[in-house]
Amino acid sequence: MSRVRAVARATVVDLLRRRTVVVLMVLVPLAFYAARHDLEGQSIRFLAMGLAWSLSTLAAFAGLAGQEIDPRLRLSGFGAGELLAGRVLGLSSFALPLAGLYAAVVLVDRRPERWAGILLALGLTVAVALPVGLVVAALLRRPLESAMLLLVVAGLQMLLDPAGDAPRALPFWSVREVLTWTVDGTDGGYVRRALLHAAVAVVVLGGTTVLARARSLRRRPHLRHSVV
Amino acid sequence: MSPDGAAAGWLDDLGRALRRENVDGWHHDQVLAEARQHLADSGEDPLVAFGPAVDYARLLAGELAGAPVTPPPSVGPARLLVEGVVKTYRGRPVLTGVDLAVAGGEVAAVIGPNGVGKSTLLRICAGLESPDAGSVTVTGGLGYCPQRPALVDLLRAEEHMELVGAGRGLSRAEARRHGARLAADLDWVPDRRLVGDLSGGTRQKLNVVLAALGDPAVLLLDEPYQGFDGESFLDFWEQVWHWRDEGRAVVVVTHRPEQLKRVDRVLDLGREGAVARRRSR
Repeated sequence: MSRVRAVARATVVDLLRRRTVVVLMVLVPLAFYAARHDLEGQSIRFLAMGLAWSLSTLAAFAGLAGQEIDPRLRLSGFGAGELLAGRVLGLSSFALPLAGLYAAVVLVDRRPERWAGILLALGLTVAVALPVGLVVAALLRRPLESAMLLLVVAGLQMLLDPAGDAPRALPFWSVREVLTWTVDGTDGGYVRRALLHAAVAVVVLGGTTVLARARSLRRRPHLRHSVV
Repeated sequence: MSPDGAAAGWLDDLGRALRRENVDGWHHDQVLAEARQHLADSGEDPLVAFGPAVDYARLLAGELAGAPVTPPPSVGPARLLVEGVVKTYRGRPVLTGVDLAVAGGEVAAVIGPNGVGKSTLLRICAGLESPDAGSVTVTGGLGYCPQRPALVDLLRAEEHMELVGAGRGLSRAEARRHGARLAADLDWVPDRRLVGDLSGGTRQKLNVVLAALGDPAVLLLDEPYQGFDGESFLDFWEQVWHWRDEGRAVVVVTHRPEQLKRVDRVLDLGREGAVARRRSR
């Protein structure tokens, strides 16, 4: 556990020293929210998708930064799983308070009747955005390509009607579905479908990330270690 | 009792002068320890007791050159054993059956022109790359210093030490302490600057420190002195001889010929059928 904490600590310190990034992380979802403040439902959806893009991009950059030093850490004794778990822990410790802050903004500003839906939607945003960013980093391995792809994903998820089939193939469909329940007062089936979709997304994306990083950092069979 | 300021300064000068005379490793430490003890016990001015540090170092180097060679620490079984390593890139053979055995208490130099596969061999030894054929056996812990320092620009040097130290089972305080000691051996005092703000040479020093953190039995160093100034270069090789004296197996990729006569093995990858040649010290 101390190794996981060490990676988490380094992730958080590295992130907090990127002051401009931190400021933008806070401002981007706020700008999305303010842009459609005249419409309650749209402003909350824009906020959630802004947060989804910010957090997934942040996770991608943390993943890419880690790919440089991970081989050295692996040689130092870290397991591939410990490196990934530490990075997720570090990112979560930043992302959850940010989501909490925005939940508070919406709850105070809008006082929605289904307030639990706001908490659930932003919680799902965090839960899905981190593996989305990490899997993109693990597969694309380049910053610009990763940022562009995440922009396309979040943008499409924001623009497409969640009632269609295509948006279900995108990772943040669960967030849109929960917000439909929250804002439009639809039935509980929306929440159940959203939870199932989020769970599948986290398992598939997280599992792919684990496999990709484990393969990249695997112990090669030609190298044998013998005890002194 | 430790020597006063003047004596301490003279001892520093003596240490540097000894290295310039190629007196290092065990002899270097022994001469310094004896001089320090003498000055502490007698309270004499070092210039009166020994004369100028440069002259004294030259005198000792001459005496040592005529003295019988100190037997090296006993060389044990191989801590790093490379057997028949083959690697081909896009149909071009890079490593063709490389063999290398480095025991504890030995330093091996890997040499050869650019593109001959020196870094590839070290990456294979570190397990970061797979060979097409062959095997590597490492006995004990492994430290690897890559040619390009793998560092996080927005972390400080001590934060890197804590992070790498955690992998080696060191507490944060232990990692900082050990890292500071290794850094001091390279004549560097880590400060609170971010790694991205450090000079290339200082980043390389951190690269070396991280590789050696936790005292691994085998050290793989891929041209680790790029960006070092002359004094740092000497400090680095001094540290390599120390590691050898401590019984570590050290492999250094190098383009610099001046240290080759002092290493125990030379693996020339520019030659056909690369097998390490054993050298007498």
